[in-house]
Amino acid sequence: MIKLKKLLSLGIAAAMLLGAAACTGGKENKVSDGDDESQPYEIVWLFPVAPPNDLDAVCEKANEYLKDKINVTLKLTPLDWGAYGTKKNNALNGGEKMDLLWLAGGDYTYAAMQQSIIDIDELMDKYAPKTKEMLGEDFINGARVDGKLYGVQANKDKAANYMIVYRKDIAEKYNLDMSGVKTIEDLYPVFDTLLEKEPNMVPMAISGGKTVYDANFCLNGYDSLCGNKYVCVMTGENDDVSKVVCPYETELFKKSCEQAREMYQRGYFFKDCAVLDNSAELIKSGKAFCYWEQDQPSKLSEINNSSDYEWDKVQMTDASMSTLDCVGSVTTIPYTCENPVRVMKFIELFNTDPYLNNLINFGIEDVHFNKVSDNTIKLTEKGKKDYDLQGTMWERGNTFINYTIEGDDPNKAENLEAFNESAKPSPVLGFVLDTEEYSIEATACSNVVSEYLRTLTYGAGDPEELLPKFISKLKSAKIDTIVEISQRQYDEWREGNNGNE
Amino acid sequence: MSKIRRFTDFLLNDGAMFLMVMPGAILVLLFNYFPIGGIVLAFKNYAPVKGVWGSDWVGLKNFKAFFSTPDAWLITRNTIMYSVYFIVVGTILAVALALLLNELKKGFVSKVYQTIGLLPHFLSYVIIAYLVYAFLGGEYGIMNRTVLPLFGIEPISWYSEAKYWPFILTFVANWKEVGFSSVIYLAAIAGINIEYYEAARVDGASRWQQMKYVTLPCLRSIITIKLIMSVGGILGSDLGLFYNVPMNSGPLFPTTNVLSTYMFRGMSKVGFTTAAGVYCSVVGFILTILANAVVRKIDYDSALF
Amino acid sequence: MTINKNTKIRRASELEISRLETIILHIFFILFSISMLYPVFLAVGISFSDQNSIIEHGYRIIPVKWSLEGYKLAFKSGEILNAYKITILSTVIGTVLSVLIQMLYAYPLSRKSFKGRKFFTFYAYFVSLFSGGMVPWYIVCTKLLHLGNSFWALVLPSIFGFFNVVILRTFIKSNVPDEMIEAARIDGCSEMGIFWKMVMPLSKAGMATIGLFAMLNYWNNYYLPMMLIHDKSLFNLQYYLQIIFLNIEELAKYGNADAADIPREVTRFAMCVITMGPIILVYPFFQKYFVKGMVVGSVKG
Repeated sequence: MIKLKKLLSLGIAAAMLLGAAACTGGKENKVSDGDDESQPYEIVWLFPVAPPNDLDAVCEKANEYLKDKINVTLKLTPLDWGAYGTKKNNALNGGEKMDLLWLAGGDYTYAAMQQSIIDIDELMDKYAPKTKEMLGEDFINGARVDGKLYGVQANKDKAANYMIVYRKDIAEKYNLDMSGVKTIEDLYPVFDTLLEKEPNMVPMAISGGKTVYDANFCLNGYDSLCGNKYVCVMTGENDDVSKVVCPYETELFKKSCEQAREMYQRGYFFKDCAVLDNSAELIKSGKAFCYWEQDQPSKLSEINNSSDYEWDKVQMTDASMSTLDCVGSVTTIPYTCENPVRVMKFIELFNTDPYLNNLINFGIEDVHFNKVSDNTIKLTEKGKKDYDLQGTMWERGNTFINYTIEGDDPNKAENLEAFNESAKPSPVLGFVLDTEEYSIEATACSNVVSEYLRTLTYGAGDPEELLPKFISKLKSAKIDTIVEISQRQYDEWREGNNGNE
Repeated sequence: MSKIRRFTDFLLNDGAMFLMVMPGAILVLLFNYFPIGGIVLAFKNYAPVKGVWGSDWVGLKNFKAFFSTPDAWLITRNTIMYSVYFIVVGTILAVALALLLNELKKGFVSKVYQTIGLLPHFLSYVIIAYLVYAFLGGEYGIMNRTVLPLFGIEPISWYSEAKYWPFILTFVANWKEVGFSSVIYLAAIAGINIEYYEAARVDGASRWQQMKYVTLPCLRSIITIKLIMSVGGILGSDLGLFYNVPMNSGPLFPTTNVLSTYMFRGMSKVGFTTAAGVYCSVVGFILTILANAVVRKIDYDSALF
Repeated sequence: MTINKNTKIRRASELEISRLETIILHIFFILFSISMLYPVFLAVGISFSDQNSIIEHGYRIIPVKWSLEGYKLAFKSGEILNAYKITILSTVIGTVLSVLIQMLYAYPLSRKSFKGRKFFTFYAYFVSLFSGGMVPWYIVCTKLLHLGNSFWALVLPSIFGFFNVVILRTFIKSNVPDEMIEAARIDGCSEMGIFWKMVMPLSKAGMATIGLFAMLNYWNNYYLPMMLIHDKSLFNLQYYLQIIFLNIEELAKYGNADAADIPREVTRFAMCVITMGPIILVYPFFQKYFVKGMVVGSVKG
């Protein structure tokens, strides 16, 4: 029956249109100036943590407090870490109503460029001045995208420096002198002795981001341009800071690969390191002697607390603050928020009010935790079971007003402050690449990098043979276009920023 | 016949059948046709703040991401090669297994064999990747430590030699799925009218002849249909097999990088992934129509439509 | 040919496979079983091993050092029991609905007399290949259908699959001859009656197969919970296991102390065993439908 078929086809077409219409996300970006505090408002806050059982109870308590202050109700919406990436993308893409969304690194800059989160400069000046002061101008500039600020950073460690963590007991046993170690080569004699005396141990455990290549670049000084895979800016003494380069084409990279190869052949790494990433297991089970790690105040004591073995460290670099460090943890306001003014008021309150901050981070006093001293607490059994946010305070606001947990370094806050002050800001601070411009070239280059990087940086392949292949393949994947586009953007930014240099 | 008569006739016969089709058809409408408008995203630069319709058109630019790699031909070749291997080898093995199982006397033992054959299907590729590593790993892998020395061969660095992997991956994939795939064929064999076999026996056919002249022809429909539908998915591949089992090892890319791993490693933008999906769908669609047309000429009943 | 007693006996022995062939077959299957079982036992053995001893000694079927630490993560809180409950519920309901609705769809497709046959085949086929992608699907599911965070989100989207329908259609076509249906129609039986009393009983093998596929799909599914469910009390088994593992992996990246404690490798194997176990127990129930002879020809006269 032809008529029926036609009818059905029309019906389907209508359905498709209907479904498509439902797909309209999109909203005009309106930041209302006025805010009527007599109207209650619900704040939906998304951040990554395994949802605790007592979430509702804590929210209720918080709401009691907040009602009198700024008349909001808080709807904490923690999402499991493991699925956070997917879920937050779905929420953004699906146009779900959210008021606060936790983002970091590339996610943050990408969302900013797509305008999925709103620009908060004005809001912050008007409604969160104390927060702004607390974060500091340099730090805030590090999170600017195209000159505008798109989120409130968490006040925590603001810089990065690196160390080599090594087994203290083994070093003492064989009289290995680690104090003179300034470069990777200095480790060779130590490793040789180790291989002789303890053939079952692996001298150095390497993994992604913690290889000889990463170490050498950190020692030299470089800005990763917010963790970009294809380009960076070298900031060492002998480098031209105005140039954007592809790290894999530099002399330093070549040297690092050759070094890695030598170390691999000498047996300093686990033989199958390029195939199986078991560095965590090696470290935990005591088979690894040392590894390269990012340092922070109190990090060493944390490592020692959670390990069966005794560790010590050698400081390798000074603290430096790059864009990546500034966007490690940002709380943003998505475009679906209906009352950004109220939300910003909440942020200011949260960052300056220890009661509220610790309530949300640790739970209800005497139920989930007990105060051991003025500023130190201990989680109760119920707290561990029903409201354990697993030490993720750094996702939210101001870690300096958090209570210290019993067992942690009591001077943590002061050490952190000193650490942050000592950090040297990178000359590239505040520059964010618009990766959209070269997204097509990036797809091809990404595969090339996946193909060669690990083998080369872990020393599992011969750089004489592989490095030229790697570079030539990158060139056919149009890495030069990426470098050109990045250089152009960098030049533009530098011109606009001439005052700040 | 009067109109009313025709209508009631329709209701009782065809009408009833339309009703039966409705629940499924509605589900398909909701979950498949409603979202299909999203295909336009393949031609747009999607920004959540602008929504699906507000985002800018970029024409075919998203498709370029697919073809911009110097390895475009290599990856396509790998994908198609593996798919063809799997379809052909997989079907032959699964059917053979079903036939062999069928030859055993029905009883506890044959049931046990069948259940055992099913087990590998439940291991995830992540686990299988570790097990394969136990076999092929550097110094301590079973191959290098025990098996190869038996034949006097030097240990091979399996994860750096691309040439062995087409074989390894085909072997692993079939090992995992042959038991599971044979289930369909076993079920089909179970449905063959027992009288056919009795007639064949009366005619003096041996077991092998029964297999050849009764079982296989009765399986023809289902084998053909499965083949036609597999052709539609020719550009797809199981990420677990091609990413996890080779441990994402770079030197193996020339023979293990397929379309889905390429996308996984390089693409995260909505526009790119949708475009890739459209590309694979279109190719699959054309191939299926062609395959279906060929089958229709030979054996009308076995065709898809 | 003269037919007598002796002739029959000789024929019978020629018509069965010989003793030798049976033995060869069994040898083949024993080797086959070993090749399938060895890795599976290895996986089970690893799941019960102590992680450090694996680093020392490698994988063993019988662990060098027994340990339940791989299972610690999964059973840490009682939540896994709830996950089991949700999984069983969604699997049972999903499987029943799935088989029913797909059979209802497949039967008309198998009848040449059905006027909408070509249309509905193509209707289902088209979307099995072409899809709008994850984002529009998500928007439809949450905004239009309001399935977010509901139990039905675990059941409804997976009910219908074109592949399954085609398999069912083929089974019905082979097992239910046209003549039978005509005969029933002439006898005055309605379509639904034919379907319930004739088609379904005769298609048991097909239904068992698709039922098995559906069951496995629901049991192992973790895409649906990941996309649509945020409420812990609605997590199913597979997703629950995956997410607690992934959570630990992510935290480990940030140097969290709790995370460092978990033995990653051994836990992975344990999770696999936890999901695998129940299926093995249920499968024999389906098996009886795959035995030849269940379906006896019933064309009477």
